Amino acid sequence: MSGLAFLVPAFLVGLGVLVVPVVVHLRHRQRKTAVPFPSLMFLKRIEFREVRRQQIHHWPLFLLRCLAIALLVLAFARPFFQDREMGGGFAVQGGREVVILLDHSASMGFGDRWSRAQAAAQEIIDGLTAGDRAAVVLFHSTATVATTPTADKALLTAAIDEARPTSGSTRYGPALRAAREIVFGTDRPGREVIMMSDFQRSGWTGEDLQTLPEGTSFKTVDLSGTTSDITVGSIEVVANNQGDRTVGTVVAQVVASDLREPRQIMATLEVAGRNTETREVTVPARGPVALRFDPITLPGAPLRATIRLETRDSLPGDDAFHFLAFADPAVRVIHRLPDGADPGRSFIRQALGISRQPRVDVMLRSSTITAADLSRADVVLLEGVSFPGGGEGQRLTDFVRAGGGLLHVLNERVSGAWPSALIDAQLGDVVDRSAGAPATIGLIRRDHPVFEPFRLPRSGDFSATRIYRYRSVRSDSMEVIAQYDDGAAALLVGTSGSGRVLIWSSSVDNVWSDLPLQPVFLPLAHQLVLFAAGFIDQPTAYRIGDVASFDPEVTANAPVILVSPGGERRRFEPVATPLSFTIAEQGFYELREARAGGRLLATAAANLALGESDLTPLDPADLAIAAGAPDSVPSAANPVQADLTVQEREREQSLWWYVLALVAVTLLVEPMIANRLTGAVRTPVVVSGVNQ
Amino acid sequence: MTTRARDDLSGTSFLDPTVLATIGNLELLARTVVDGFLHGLHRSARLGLSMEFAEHRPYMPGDEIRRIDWRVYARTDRFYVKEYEAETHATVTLLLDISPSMAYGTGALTKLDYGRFLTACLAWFSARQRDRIGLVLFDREIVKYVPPSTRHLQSVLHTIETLTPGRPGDLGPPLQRVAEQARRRGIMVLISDFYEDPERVGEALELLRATGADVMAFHLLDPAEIEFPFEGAATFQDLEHGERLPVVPEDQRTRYQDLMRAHIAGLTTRMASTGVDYSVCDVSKPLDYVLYEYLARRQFLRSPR
Repeated sequence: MSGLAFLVPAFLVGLGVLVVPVVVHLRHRQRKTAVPFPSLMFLKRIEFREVRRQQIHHWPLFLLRCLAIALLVLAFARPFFQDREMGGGFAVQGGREVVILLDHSASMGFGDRWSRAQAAAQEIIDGLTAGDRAAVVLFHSTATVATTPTADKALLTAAIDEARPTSGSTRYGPALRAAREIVFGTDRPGREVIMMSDFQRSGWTGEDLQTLPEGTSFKTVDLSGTTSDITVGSIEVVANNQGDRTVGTVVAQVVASDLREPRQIMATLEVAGRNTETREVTVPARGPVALRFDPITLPGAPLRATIRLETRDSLPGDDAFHFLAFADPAVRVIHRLPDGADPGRSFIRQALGISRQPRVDVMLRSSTITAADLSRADVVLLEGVSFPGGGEGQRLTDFVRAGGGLLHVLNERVSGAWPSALIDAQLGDVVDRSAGAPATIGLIRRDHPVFEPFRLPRSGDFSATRIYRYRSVRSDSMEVIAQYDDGAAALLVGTSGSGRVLIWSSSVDNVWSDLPLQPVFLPLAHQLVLFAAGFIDQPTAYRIGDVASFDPEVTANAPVILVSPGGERRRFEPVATPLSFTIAEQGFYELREARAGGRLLATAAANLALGESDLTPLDPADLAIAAGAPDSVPSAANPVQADLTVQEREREQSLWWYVLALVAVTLLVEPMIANRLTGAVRTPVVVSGVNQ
Repeated sequence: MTTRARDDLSGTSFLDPTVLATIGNLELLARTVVDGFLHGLHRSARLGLSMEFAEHRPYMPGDEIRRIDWRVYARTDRFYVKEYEAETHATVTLLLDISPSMAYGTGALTKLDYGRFLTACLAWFSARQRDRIGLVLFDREIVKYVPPSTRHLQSVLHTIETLTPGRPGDLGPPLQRVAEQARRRGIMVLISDFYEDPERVGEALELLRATGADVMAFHLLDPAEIEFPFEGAATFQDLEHGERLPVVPEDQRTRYQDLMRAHIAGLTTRMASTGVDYSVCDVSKPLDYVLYEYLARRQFLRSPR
């Protein structure tokens, strides 16, 4: 009842009337007239305590009468709540459910944004009154409920104090979803969602947001301010083979936003912990600028590298860009052609020769593939030749089953069968579609990794390809990922042991099809080889929120430990699939053997999401509209107290009316209880003609 | 016995005290009750006539010749005379306690009203049996006395109709006076609330028994005296002596009921040892039970000795 005041407190003196029921129950209970009774001879023999007569016997009745008097006095005193929030809460029969959505993305570390956010949150917590509850939800790309709804201000304050800006990127959707879940199930009639953020535009890309339940008040505390920032947008390591070594040139794209004028900054390239070069760069007011460093020698193993910008801006988190510098291992392909064939006329060989990352080294063989050849190869490409028999066939089978790749391109000269130890597939006759309309590629599985470059719409047109002849191939164990228009298999994919087998059922020589002339041929040829080799592209750097994965070769044999940039360690048991995890911190993730002094197995570089460096704010009102609360307060760090007089406040709340209603109810109940309690007494004694 | 009486007397609802309270004329009331009661029994109303044949005995010199049964002489050729049952009328003395405690009641009738009705009914009933009827109204002394006579019915009824509650009661002196004045054996019906020690009551009744009379005692009690249902602290006043006593009924109810049960048990035991027929009558209940008690006792007295 804190905050309760009275417009006419003098009436409270009337509470003294409470003495009346006390006296009535203690003294007036004994009837004035004596109760006649035939004889007291038995009653005289019964001992009883006189004091019992001074006790209150009907407590419910006594309390009810006291309550009626107290409520009546209270109503005359005209009570009201001094606190407007509480009074307002009472007017709608209850308190508020307040959800504080606190943005702790990386951009909140800009300048004094975080301290302002904490201060604003604390103000809201201090403003909570009796009947109110609040929950603190911290959000960036995900939302975390720091405290479930509670009236404990100490708990709420602790949650605010313990929170820190993270490396996460801003997303408003999860925060609104969490707020909706909290206020949706509340029994409080007053519902408020207060979002504290710098309201980066990048946090909302226009997707549909969860709307808040009807009647929910949505308030925003806008913490945005200066938006000028300089950061590294992306880097590229351009590798070149120079003899037996590979050198790479680091090219960084420096991005500026909202600069008033071009600015000169210093940029430093660190490789393996040492400064290798520092350059001065002039950043234009708007738009990017390329920053090229001198070439560095790239080893096979990744080198940790960082570009640091001396921007002197308020968001230091994005002034450093971490990446890995390494020379991609080349994919080695043994290209087996028929004896006497001209390798210069092989379209696929020419396509594979045009490669940079990763580099594809093609070794031509027109005769027997030796064990020595296979030991240096990742993929064997059989173009227009039958699967070899005898020892060569066995070696090839063993090579594939041990993890190698086989790409078999068929034509009319291919005969025989694949060994069952390799793959279960039957080679059929030549299907000639040259007489009528040539066949086309009617269906491809664009969700398959082979067709990953063609996944997006208009990113690869296979329908223009004309197929005049192809070989019929049937297999129950291989997956058909491309079909001709008649349903026959065009590309089959299967596994054998640890290796992969791909069969293209037509030739790629511009005789059986015009596929080599199509724009999709070059990327398709690369994809076929890379997939057969089991190649996993390792990016030089990740962004916060990306899913990183490590090659199963380093995680399949023994338990490993993933060490985050902040030092958090997570243990993983051996898995045969790539080890994947979500990037959440800026810096270098390390994958080590799970033992003392375990060997470093792999590294991943992580940087802030690029969107966090774009501090351009959106209008919070747009967000409010999207959240389904268009009438909400657009920007308010703390609710404004209306300056009402006590008379106005009392009139607004009109509590006396409710109290008077309670009095009426009490007075209705009182006779019922009284009759019930005294109903057992007999009718008055009849005494006729007593002659005393 | 009570149950059997109720079963036998089903349909006698007009005996309800609430109904009786509306009848102003005591004679009419008594006649209504008794006739209705006897009608419900489906028996002859002449239960008391002592003209019934008992046995034959040989003729003895001195016997009246008209008492010889000539039909027997014709068959046996011997003289026999008829012997009949004793022809004496019973003497019924009704003793009604009119002490102030009898003027108590929580229902339609006080105990005194109930006692008046009961006495009137018994008088009327006895008159129909051609018994001699006497009446004694007493408190600590005899207040009114109507000697037993077959012609005193109206006098008895008038006395009952005009009685008023008397002084504080005491059974001993008035009953002693009654015993001294009793001239012949008969039936004495004592109606009281017996607010005295059972031993003293027993001693007083022994005086009546000493006259050779058959004594019946009806103990009238109001339901409130049995259950003590009062609520709330109050001052209780003794109707006999005017004495006042603060009472918290809720606290004393159980103990009171125990004492009342013990009192009735004491009276029952003491009267049984004295040879008195004792019955407790709830004045909220119909009169039939009391009448049946009397009837049963009366029949017992009429049987051959």
